[in-house]
Amino acid sequence: MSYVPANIPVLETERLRLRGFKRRDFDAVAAYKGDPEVMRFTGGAETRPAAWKSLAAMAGSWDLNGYGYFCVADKQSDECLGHCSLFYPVDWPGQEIGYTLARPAQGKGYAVEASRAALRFAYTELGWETAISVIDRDNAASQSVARKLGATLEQENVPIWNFHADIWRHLPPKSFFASDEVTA
Amino acid sequence: MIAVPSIPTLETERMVLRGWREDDLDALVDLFGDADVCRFIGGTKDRAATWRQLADYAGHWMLKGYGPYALSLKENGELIGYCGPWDPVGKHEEPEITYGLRAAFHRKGLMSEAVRACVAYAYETLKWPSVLSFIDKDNAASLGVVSKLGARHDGDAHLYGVVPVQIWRYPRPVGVV
Repeated sequence: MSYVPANIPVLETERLRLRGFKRRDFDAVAAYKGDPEVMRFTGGAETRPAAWKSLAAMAGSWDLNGYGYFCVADKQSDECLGHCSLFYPVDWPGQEIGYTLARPAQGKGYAVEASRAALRFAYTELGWETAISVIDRDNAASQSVARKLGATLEQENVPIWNFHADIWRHLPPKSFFASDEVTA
Repeated sequence: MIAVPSIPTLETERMVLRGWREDDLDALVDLFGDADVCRFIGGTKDRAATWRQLADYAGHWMLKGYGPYALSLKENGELIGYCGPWDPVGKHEEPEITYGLRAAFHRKGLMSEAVRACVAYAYETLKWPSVLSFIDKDNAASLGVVSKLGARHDGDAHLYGVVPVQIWRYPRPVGVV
């Protein structure tokens, strides 16, 4: 008897494919998780063994919650550019949209494009009625993505797990879909 | 809701070895919060790190098609530990059978019962040419488990290049070719 991994949905946008992580994504994951600039506000650069554990935990989140981390891939090459997550582990302040991109993939609007697709999926397929993003107070790039998605700063300097961060609140489904139509 | 296929279970006399669920967390928090239990398995973990470890176990299955199982007592469904094939990047060139048990369930022969099932699974189903566990030389309880299963000490290794351990190789179960 063999085990067939979960059938994680595939979401496509104009330039991106959001899909489940695979073993072959490891080098790409180790590269962006090992980049101190990329990881500056999310725990710091990871060694290759630590990045493997991250990759496994990102994949495994689907088993625990029924949703989880998407690999954000280039639609043409299917190459992993980063991740976009639907995340709600224990003691987390709410259902979260998260995003991290490798440095070469930053500054192109990919994080907004991926997060918009993930949020649409969470609202239509998972029945989420609200969503947050947990963002470091000094992470201007991530705050800018949140703003472009229509999110607003809700609470500052909240203790979460073993760190402090700000909570940004996304638009509820109705207004999100209204803004989604305008930008789609 | 996304349909997640279940991991095939293994059964022993007293346990079901199954895939992971988020509600296994509290039992794992008990295990990974116990300094004595964690002395030889990387030290204690807090609740957040334990959630991540739980996701990591589940994800190992997704990425490799095998991984550590949740050990559940047949008697009452209680989650008592983990055991199974384990091969994270950077640890060592050979995979191993990893295992750990909550303190309340020690000294009942449960660990060797679970490891025996996983060794057979690794030889028979995964077709590993050789099945082993890495063990700290001072971990008397674990050395007791592998000795009971007839494993032999086959040299030493450094996990992640730094953690000194002994290599214990299990015999192929009778009848498995």
